[in-house]
Amino acid sequence: MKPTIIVVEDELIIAMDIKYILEKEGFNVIINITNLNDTIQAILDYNPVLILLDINLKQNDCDGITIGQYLLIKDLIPFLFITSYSDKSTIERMKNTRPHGVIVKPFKPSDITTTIAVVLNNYQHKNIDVLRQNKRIDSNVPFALKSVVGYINDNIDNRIDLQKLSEFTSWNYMHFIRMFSKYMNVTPYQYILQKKIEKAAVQISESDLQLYHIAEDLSFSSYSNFCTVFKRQTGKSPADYRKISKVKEYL
Amino acid sequence: MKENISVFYGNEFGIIILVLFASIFIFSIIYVKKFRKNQLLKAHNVYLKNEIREFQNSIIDKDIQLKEIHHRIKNNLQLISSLLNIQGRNNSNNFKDFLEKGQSQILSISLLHQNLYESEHTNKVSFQEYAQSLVNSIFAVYVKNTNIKIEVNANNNFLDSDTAIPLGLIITELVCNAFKHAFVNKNDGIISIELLSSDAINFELYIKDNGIGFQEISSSDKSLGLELVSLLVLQLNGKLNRCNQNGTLYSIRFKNKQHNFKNIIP
Repeated sequence: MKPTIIVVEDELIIAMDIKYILEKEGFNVIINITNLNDTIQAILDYNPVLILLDINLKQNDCDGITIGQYLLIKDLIPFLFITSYSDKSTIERMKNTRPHGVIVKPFKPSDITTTIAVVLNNYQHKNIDVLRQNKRIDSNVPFALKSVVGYINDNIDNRIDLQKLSEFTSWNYMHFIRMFSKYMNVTPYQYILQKKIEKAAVQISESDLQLYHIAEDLSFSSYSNFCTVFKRQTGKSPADYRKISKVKEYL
Repeated sequence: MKENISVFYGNEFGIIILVLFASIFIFSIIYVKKFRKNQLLKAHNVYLKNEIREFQNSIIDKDIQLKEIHHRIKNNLQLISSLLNIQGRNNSNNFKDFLEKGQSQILSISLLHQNLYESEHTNKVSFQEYAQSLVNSIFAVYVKNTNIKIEVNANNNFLDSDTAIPLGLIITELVCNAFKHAFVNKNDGIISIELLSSDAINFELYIKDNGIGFQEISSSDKSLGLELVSLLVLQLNGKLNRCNQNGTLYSIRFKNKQHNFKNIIP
């Protein structure tokens, strides 16, 4: 199923533009939502991964910042502001709702896609981002995991030994896996595969490297193993993925 | 000798008293004059203070308006960029059409601002003037059919700019459509635009041509235009109807939206 993004914007032409941009990136996009009640209902109906908020809604008692405040209290879904206000008082009001980002109008399509990619990625990692925790941290759990994730990202091309990862922390092997799964919502092994496939997808669509070279570079045990994992995660085989990205580029 | 002295003193005393009275008199005159002057100054001060306060208020007002204008400029540029983006994505082969459409859309937004600027109301625009200038400029873009006439009758209605922008885009789209599709194989025709309102809140807009009418199945390019129109009608919380009546008749019911400034606190 595609992840859903809700766009709260009452200039529907602009909302439509955003919808097109995001649909191209593989999101399901809901538009024509212009007030708080609609937003709440849409969150229940569609279970979105992200919400984009325009500030200047032509409603009597509710602007984007009001909705932002509601979302802050719930704190379940990341949200971004899309606005043409960039004066101090508005920025001050925006800051108080702690949005995950701001896109200033007039925007380019790439502004939207890059910001959203960053925000979604940050949100996934928020549990290990120490600075974002409002609770005081008593143990050094996130610190330990942070170094683990850092190590994975630095060595994504190599074969990564889980036993070695657990040595970054003071826990034994099983406890390490349990803690990692708890904070990252995936097991370390799955996380590594996920990252490898992400990197592979970029290389496939943006370079002309042979597919088996890419698999080799990422230290997969075999090309067929790589294909299976890739297909399980993206829904397409590496060859199809390359063809589709070529066609997209051509269009 | 004693009497002399007393007379002398009496005289002296009299003179002193006289001088005293004279000086009191002079002082009191000066004082009264000063007092009056002071009061005048005080009144003047109060007046000036009020003036300053009024100026300050008007500066704050102007500040708010300036911010609002900046906001609008950016929003409108975004709107244009989004319109071009959407149309460019769907209609990649016919470059001339794309440019003409984009040009008339930009004109429709810029004319609104011109009308706003020229009118004495800050945020209301005379629909008659706006629509008239709009169709004239669309006319200039599509000069091929010169025998087509456009009538505009707004019945002296005024609209808020937030309502007028989408409405202007709707009119641009529908009138362009009429120019392009309604008078195929016909040399003359009339397009009429009428805005009716009973209470200055609920409005009805009719756009009518006496061309060939429409078929239910239309090309993909045309349907994008109509998709934009229905999106804009949705934004006005309005209702769009289309029927064949010696040509095509579009009717749109909507409410005028009042823009509120209260979101922007300086």
